Amino acid sequence: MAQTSTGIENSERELVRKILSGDNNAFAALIKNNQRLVFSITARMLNNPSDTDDICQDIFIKALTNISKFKFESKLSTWIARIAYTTCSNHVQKKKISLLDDMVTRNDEDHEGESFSNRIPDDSGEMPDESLFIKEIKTRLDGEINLLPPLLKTILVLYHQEELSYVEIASIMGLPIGTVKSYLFRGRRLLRDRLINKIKQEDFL
Amino acid sequence: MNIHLTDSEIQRLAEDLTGNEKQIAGHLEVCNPCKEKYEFYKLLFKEIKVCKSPGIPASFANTVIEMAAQKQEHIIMSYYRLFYGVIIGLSLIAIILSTQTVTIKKIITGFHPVAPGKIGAVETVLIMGAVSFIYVCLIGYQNRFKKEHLLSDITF
Repeated sequence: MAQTSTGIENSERELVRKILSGDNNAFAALIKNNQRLVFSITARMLNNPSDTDDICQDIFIKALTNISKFKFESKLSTWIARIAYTTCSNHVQKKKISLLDDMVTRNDEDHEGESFSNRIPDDSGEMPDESLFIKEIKTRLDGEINLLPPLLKTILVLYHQEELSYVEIASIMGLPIGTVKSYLFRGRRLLRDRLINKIKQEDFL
Repeated sequence: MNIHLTDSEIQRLAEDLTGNEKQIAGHLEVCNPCKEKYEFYKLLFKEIKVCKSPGIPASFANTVIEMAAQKQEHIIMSYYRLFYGVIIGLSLIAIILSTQTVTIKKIITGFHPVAPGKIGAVETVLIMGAVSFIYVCLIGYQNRFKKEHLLSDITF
């Protein structure tokens, strides 16, 4: 049976109360419940496996240190994801990496309102063998997602893999819901265009 | 038909988010480029969902808890060090004052005359310092024991 929102809030209150009283099992439960989400955000934002573990540890230590400030205005997982996103953003900006490529924004704006057939004229050509095509997409997808700007790939992963709503993603990233939607659409379009171009370059299409 | 669906419309269709916009869905039946694009997005969304997730070390939760315990211990130890410093400092001042020149002794005992066999201000400070020092040490050991006990309780 699905838990109601009140039920979830009560269980989160109980978990936070236990953590504040020094119960390490409760803290372990908090980590286990949220580690997948935190690792997803961190891995996509940083794109550097050697930093990921350390940053994730820092994120949970920050969560523990600040848990008394959690006001139950959002889900606990959203609050922890916000800590993860903020920590990673600071880390990325320190390394002078742009969260959203200027080029992506410019290209996107250029394409706005343009019809599909104008943008990719020979896309309506003969379709390749379907199973080969799917295999090629699967092989390249993870690498192509990683090549997207940090902001776009994080939204993409939060929406499709973690199945978070626009509201939750907006709350995590501190962005308006409309902006999240717009970035998600841009990210997917960019990913699609790049995949098609890559496959075309290898004479697959 | 020359007018194609916009990219956003096709993405929404691929996500089944168009609701009652039957005109949009109907367009796919008559427009091959839009249909191909729609099918590509369908495939893309399906594959992103099952894309590999980052590996999480098996002992990750344990490592974080140990780190948190070490950090907490570090903070506690900083307070203890400060407290020890103050106590030792006070004790040293008391010892110096009590062994200093007769004049200083006279000043101290002048303000606080002590009868023979009774404890004076300097001795009181020394005794209080020693008792506090022992108390702080005991609390420190107790906290350490408690923390080790809690860590050994955790099951993964």
